[in-house]
Amino acid sequence: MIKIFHIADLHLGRTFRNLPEAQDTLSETRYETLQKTVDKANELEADIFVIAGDLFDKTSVKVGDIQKAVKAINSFAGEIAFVLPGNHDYITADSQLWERFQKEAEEHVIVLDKKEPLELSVFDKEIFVYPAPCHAKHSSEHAIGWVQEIEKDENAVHFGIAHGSIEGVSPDFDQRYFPMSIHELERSGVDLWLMGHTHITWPEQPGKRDMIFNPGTPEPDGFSCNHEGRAFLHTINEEKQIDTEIIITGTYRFVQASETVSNEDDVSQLIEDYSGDGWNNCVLQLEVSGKLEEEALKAWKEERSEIRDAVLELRLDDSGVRRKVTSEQIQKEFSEGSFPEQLLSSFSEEDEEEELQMAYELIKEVQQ
Amino acid sequence: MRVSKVFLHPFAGIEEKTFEFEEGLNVLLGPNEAGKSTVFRAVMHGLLTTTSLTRTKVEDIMGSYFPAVGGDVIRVSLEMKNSKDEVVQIVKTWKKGNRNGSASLKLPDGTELTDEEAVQDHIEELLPVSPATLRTIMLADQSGLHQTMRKMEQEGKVRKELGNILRKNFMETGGVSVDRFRELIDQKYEDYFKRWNRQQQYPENNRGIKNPYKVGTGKVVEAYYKKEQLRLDLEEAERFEDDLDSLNETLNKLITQQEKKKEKFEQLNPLKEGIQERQLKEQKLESAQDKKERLLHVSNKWPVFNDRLENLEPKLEANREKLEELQQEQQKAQNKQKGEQLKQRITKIEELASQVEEAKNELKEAQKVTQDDLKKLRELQSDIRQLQTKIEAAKLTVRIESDSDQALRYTEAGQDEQNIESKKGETLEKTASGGFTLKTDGLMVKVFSGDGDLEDTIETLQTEKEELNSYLDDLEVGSVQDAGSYAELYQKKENDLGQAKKAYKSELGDQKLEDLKEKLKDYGNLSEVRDSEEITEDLVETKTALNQLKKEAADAESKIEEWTKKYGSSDEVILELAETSKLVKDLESDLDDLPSLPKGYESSGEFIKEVEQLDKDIQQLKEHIFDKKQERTQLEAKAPDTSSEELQKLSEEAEAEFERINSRAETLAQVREKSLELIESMDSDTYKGLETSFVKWLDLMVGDRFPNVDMDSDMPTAFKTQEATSLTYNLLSHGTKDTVALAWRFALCEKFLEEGNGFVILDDPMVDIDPERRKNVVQAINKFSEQYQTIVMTCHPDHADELGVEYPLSLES
Repeated sequence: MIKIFHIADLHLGRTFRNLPEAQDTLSETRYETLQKTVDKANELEADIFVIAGDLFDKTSVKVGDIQKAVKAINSFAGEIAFVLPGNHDYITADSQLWERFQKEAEEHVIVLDKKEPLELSVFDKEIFVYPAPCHAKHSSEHAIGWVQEIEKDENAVHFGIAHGSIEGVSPDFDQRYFPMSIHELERSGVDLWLMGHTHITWPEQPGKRDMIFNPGTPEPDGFSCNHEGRAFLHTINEEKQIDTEIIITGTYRFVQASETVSNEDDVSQLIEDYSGDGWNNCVLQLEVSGKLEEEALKAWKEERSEIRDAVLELRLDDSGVRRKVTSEQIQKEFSEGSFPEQLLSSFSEEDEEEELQMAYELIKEVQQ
Repeated sequence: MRVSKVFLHPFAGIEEKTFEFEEGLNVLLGPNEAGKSTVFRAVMHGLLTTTSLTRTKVEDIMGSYFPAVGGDVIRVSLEMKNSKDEVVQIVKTWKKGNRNGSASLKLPDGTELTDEEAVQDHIEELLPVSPATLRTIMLADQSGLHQTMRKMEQEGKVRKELGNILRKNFMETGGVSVDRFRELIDQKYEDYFKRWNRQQQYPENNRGIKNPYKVGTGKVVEAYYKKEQLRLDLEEAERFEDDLDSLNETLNKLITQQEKKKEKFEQLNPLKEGIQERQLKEQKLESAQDKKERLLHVSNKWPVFNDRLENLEPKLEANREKLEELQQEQQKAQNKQKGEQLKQRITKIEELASQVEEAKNELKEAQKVTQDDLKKLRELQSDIRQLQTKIEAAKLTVRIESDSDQALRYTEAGQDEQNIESKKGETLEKTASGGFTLKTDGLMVKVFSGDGDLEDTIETLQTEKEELNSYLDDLEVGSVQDAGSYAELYQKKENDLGQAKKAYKSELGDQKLEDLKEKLKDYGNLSEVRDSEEITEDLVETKTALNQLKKEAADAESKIEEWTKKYGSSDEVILELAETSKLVKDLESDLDDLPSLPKGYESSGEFIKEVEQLDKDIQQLKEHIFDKKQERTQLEAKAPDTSSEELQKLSEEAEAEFERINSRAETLAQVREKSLELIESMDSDTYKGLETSFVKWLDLMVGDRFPNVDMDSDMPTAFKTQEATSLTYNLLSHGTKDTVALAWRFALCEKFLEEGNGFVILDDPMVDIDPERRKNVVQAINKFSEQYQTIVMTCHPDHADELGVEYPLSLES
């Protein structure tokens, strides 16, 4: 029985420039998450630790950061750790990143820099590893073609490690990310493929018949990635049957939500729903809309900061929250024929909601 | 607020006097020189001029109000009452010198202010209108009355105040100030759109992200720059990544190439030395083989050439003899040709001689009439003809009539006698030339014409005729004509003979026929000799054969000479051949011991060249790789700190943010546009009230003279008479101008002043108005004074009368 702890796409060094408040936290957390995954793998007594590409976000990484990463991986207590260069941290002839990495790495930490099979003889069963490292950021051709050509011993376990888009699974409209089809992966003759690149877990519920596995990122990095941060633990038995377990590894979450409010109660409920202790590890993108009476609107404007305080970072779009301005209200508030009445009524009659809102705000601002 | 008391102590010639004013209409009567305007000035300065004036300002503004002699101080005390009849007291003192004055203000609640600035500010606050409006509309002196309109035009402040007041009535209900609204929306518009060109949806002056405004931009431009910058960053990051990718790809290719070449080089290089040796031996072998070939050839050919030389000699001799024979034969053939030509010539000469003989005979046999003969005959014939013509010129006609038939003989002169017959009853007519002779038996009649010498002529003619006939007989010819023919024939024969003789002579020349015949005999018989052409052919053939033989001989000779020079003798050639054969064998055995050429190479040279080329290529690749690595290091130094994927996201977000802001800004622009439209359209309504009021007052004063007035918002621009003539203010008469100005002031006061609150001072308003119209004006003033305190100053007691004030105030003490 062999246990493989499989992660990918950690993207150490990602800057999160679009999240000014959370960026430092998010950036730093990724190193912690790496350590967390290794600790978890040790805890689960994994034999092999696999990082299937994009450990780093780019090829230019500060030495200190490389050291920090290698140190975490060195702490893997199993037999061997494989690190595959992905398209973000691709390997080239005399790559400074990987040279430094290898320099820092202990003996059991292997950088998979060549497209050639590796034999592991320390286990009961012979194991052959088929790495498909990336040699560039973009490529319209995948790196797995050679695997099919190799003659394979039926008794041994064969597993491939590759990085790139999988047709029908990850978006790659321009075919720039080493695109592979499921068929190509399947016919290559290995028992399982440990993949990386797609930040979302695939298959969502790994089953007995699956042989291509993409764990998703262990630490969420965007709103398109709404899981908790994941790794896979693959257990391969004597009959070469694979059992895959999802391991939760992340710290922060990215949540996208869209809510509608129509009165003060809704506002209170919304505030309650999105504030409180549960939200401090969250980057929240919230879109709120709805028409509110003056009081409710006031409440919303006053209380919405509670959400901001509760989450790590809030991206709020409440341009859809409107003051309820009806023609009855206009007539009531302003005498007929007066400037404000005429202006507001003209927008109200023509259903120019945006203009009506803005004109109302302006009139309120100058009203004494 | 109205004026209730004015106390001057002293002011402009008045030492000390109090004027009290009631609500409604007040009339102040006094002659011009008594300073009727003094009170007007005192009120104006009391309200509007500060007492804190510099030395020069005191002189400029207040100088004329100081006493002419003795006294450097003037004072005005005003008592004003508000709508609740509460009293406000103002005391102002101006003194000559720098800021020497003083002021005090006592309010109804007992508060008293003495700070000059505070006093002035407070007074202005209490006034129903701004000082400018007060001066322009409420206080207008005599000279200024009809200038009200012009002043209005110039005073922006007044017009703005008017607009605000008018608009307030119409729009500002609910506490919304249109002006503030307008200011706010303009401010917001600027906040959004500063430096943004909405039409082009681009920053102003085409200042895109490459040349951006650094400061003073609105939100739209800021958002635009932000998204554009991110777009550029993204492009740059993508470019960088692509460049790096392609550089890495190149590097990978180069390195792979280098490795392949290295591998091959290492495999081939150890063989290089052996192959080089092989190359050397191969070259030697090749040249030894060549030499062997050559020696073999020489040793074979040398005896052959010797034999050839020997065989050629007799052949050459035979050919030379044959050539000589042919040349002799050729000589004979030429003689034969000459003999034949001579024979032909002799034959021709003989023929010409016989032609001469023949011509001689023919001349002998021909009728001999010479050209001299012919000449003589023709002369005779000519003479005869002349004579005959002479005779014929004397023409005579003979008519013979006879009684019976008669036979007659008739001879015409110079003619032969003929027999004629004259028949009975018939007339016989004859014509004769010169004369005739008629004979009958026994009678001869001779008739002659002229004087008689014609007879000699006839005789001469007779003689010459006989001479001609005798000459012809001698020549044995019938007539002169025949003689001509014979003479021609005879001459031809003579010529023929001459030509034949000439031809003979020319052919023969100065030779003699006998000599020629002798020479022909000398050539002898050459009939057996061949033709010259035939002989020439044989000659050419023989010469060619001879030359060929000569050449062959020379060739053989030169080869032998060459070989002798080179090798000495044929025996020595054979010796050298043996040595070379041995060398070839030795080299072949050496080559068998050396490493053989790997497959795929044609020669050792090719192999060595390849190994050397590989070495060179590897070095070159090494340099190339080094360069590319340098290039990559340089490129990586410029690496953007954010990946294209992340920038892509940022860029999209910035784009959305820009769209959001721009859309919000456009909404604002819509609101602004509509607001401005609305304000403008409402403004036109605003001034409607003013127009109505003005027309009302005008109607009161001038009746229906101007039923229509054109307004440009707050100013009347044209007055239309009933005849529809349109007059501008300047075109009105002096009196009408004053009337219109008064109506205009009343209308403005109605708008400026709250009902009952305020006052108007009119300084001689009716001075230029004719008595007829004065009635209407008086009526209007009375009506106006029902609403507002009105103080009319006049120097005309009858005007005061007309105004219906029983006891006008008087300036007289």
